Amino acid sequence: MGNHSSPDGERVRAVGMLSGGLDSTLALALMREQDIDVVGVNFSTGFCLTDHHQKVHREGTDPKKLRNGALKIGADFEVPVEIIDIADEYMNVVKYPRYGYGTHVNPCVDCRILMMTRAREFMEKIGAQFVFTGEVLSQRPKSQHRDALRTISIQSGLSDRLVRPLSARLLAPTWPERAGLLDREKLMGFHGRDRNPQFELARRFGIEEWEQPAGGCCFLTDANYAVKVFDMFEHTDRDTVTRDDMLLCKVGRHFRLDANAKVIVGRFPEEDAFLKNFGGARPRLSAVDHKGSLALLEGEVSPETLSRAARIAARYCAGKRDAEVRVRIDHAGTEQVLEVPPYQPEECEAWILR
Amino acid sequence: MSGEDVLDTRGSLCPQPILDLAKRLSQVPVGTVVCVVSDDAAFPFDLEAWCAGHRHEFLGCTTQGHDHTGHVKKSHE
Ligand code: SF4
Repeated sequence: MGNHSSPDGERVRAVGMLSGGLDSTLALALMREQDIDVVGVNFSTGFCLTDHHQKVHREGTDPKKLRNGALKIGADFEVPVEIIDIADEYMNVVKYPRYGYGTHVNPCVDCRILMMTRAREFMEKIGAQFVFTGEVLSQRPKSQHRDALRTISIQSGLSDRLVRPLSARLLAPTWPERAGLLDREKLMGFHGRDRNPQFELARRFGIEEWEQPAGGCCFLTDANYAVKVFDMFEHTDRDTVTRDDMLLCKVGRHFRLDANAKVIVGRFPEEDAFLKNFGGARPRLSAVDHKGSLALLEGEVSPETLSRAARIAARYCAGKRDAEVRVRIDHAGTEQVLEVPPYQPEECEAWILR
Repeated sequence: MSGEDVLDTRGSLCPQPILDLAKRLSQVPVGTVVCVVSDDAAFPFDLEAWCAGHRHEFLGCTTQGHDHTGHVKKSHE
């Protein structure tokens, strides 16, 4: 044990899946303690919270809080972090997860399998010997119990080349441990949701800063977001749902008017800008004579749905107490103005998805 | 600067600016300076961190309104 060279005599190289959170940072520190040459990977799924907040955040937000945590940890540990874009293929995982969803619209087991598969390919490409993650046995009930961890190892093709340094001593010895590339005694036996052992280990390594994701690594774990996505899946042919459609569910207030029509209204100027950029061919509505939010109409475009959407747009502008508000509609290269009475708050309330 | 290698990534979603930079650096000779423009809020921090991890030289980043302009020198293959 403790011999840090690979079977062919070179320094041991490993691929570390880094999120910037505490667990993957500690896993990295444990590997560096054993003099492993680490190359980090960070996956861009299109649903990462920090990536989203970089584009859509309220004015005045401290930009430091929006930084990519994995890159920061890479810089702190002088480890290169490769960002791997899996956003396109990820759409299928979100729409049709083989192992189902977690509490919300998070397909964690399928997500991990895809990431580990790509990590294995990267490992092979750069000639690394194994992959490690910051997973902790039973920390998350659905994706980190013993069977799920085994499924992820096998389905990704990594099998016993996948090391979980934080829980290794509770799991079967992996190939790097058996081959003497890693000293199992220096790995951890963390288990469950108690974070105190991690905090203690962080103190030991002098780690003081890490990202603190609320509830998960991505917004697929967000309950409000899930309501909007499942509503979309119910009212749209799932095959046709695009990444932009999914991203729009993260932005604004959503009003389900009926089975065929929905209105999205921005809550602050940055959301309006996002709706404008990612709204595609959806009709765009905004008040002519007042400051107000941008609204998009999704689904059936008819005089009735346009009028209802205009009344919602009127409700979210400075003229919301006026008897009538002029609302401009941009659609398919044409422009029209409707004069409509703003809805009263209680009229809209029943249509809000949350 | 005329003749400068400029990547304008404005409007793209994070982490596209960093992905574009990594790709461009893999295509140019050592010593080349690449300029990247991004409107992602934390781009200056991410760019500096990425350079530190990958050991490319971070020459600085300036900000005008929402636009950040960073310069990176390719330091090795
Ligand atoms: S929380 Fe999101 S990124 Fe993390 S494993 Fe689950 S689906 Fe994947």
